[in-house]
Amino acid sequence: MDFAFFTEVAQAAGNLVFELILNAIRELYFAHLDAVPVTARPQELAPIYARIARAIGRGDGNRARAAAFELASQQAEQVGG
Amino acid sequence: MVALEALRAPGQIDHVLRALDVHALRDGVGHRQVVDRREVVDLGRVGDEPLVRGVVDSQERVGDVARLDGDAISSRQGRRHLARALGHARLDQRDNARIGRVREQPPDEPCADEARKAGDEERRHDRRRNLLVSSATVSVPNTLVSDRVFATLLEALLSGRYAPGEKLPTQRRLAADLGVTMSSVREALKRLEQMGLVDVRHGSAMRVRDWRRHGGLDVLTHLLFRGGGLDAGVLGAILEARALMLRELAGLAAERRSDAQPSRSRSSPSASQRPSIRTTPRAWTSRSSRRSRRPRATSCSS
Repeated sequence: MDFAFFTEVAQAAGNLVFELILNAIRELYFAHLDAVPVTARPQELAPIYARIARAIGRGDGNRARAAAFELASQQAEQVGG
Repeated sequence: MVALEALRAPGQIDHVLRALDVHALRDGVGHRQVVDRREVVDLGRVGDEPLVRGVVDSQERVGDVARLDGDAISSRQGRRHLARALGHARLDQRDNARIGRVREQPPDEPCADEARKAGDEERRHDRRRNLLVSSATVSVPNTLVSDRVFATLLEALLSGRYAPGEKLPTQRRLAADLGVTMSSVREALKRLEQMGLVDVRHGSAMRVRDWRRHGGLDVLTHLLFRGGGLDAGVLGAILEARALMLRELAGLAAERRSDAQPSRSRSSPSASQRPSIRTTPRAWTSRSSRRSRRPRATSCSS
């Protein structure tokens, strides 16, 4: 779900390089999901995904950035914790 | 003084340590420390020259400069350890030539032939163990032989056992050392070349390229799982880069989005399944997974 979401976001961003980098990271995660559970427990983070989606929908770049960074940070904490 | 590039057998640094710990240190006490997440052994200096200094990898091999003053080895036990570090049953004239003057061997050493046989057997065992250990640490399950060779060589490159610019052994030598066929080695080297990690030129030696300068994202996977576990430093770097990238992606998506994407999405089969960036992620992605491939929006509102 996480990668499907951000694949769409990357397409909306219109930057091919980001898309390809995201693909490379996705391949890495899918090969080692157990060891790198970045996308685990997505339901707990659903409100943040929703905030990102709303911010993008409104065209609010600052809020979209903040929400995406918060999401990624929480995912990183999940892995670390 | 001589560089000990030849010391690559597992556990060799331990032998050097034992050899030198006995009588060799002329100033200071040998110690090991972690520098930039790499373990460094520094056994003191002779004048301005390091006596022994090297980066030790996870399999106890020196992957960096290692120098040794052979004259410093005076005890029988020290000589024995040094010989084992060099892969020989005992020190001989050849070693004397390589490492400088070494004091005469005491007479009560075991018979030379017997010791040499024991040394040969040990080296064979070490080679085999080297391959097995290397394969195990990069978590390669039941795969092709060439995959295991690839993993072994890749680990050697990433760990610095083969330094940038250094010549790789010949394919024949690698095949012999790893106990595999030449074709497996060729295939593995081809993959390393495609990853930009070795430079293969027709008619000349293969050289190691600096993976930090030439490696791509595919190197990340191998770095992440080096040593059989998850490398926390590499994982942290990936997560940090990911966070920054996702932040910017979301920002750009918001600033560049146009009606192209929603309208493109609305062309899906039914209005109730209309994908929209405004909908909740769960519904959005579940619809996304059902959608067939669509052309990507490239227009920018700005």
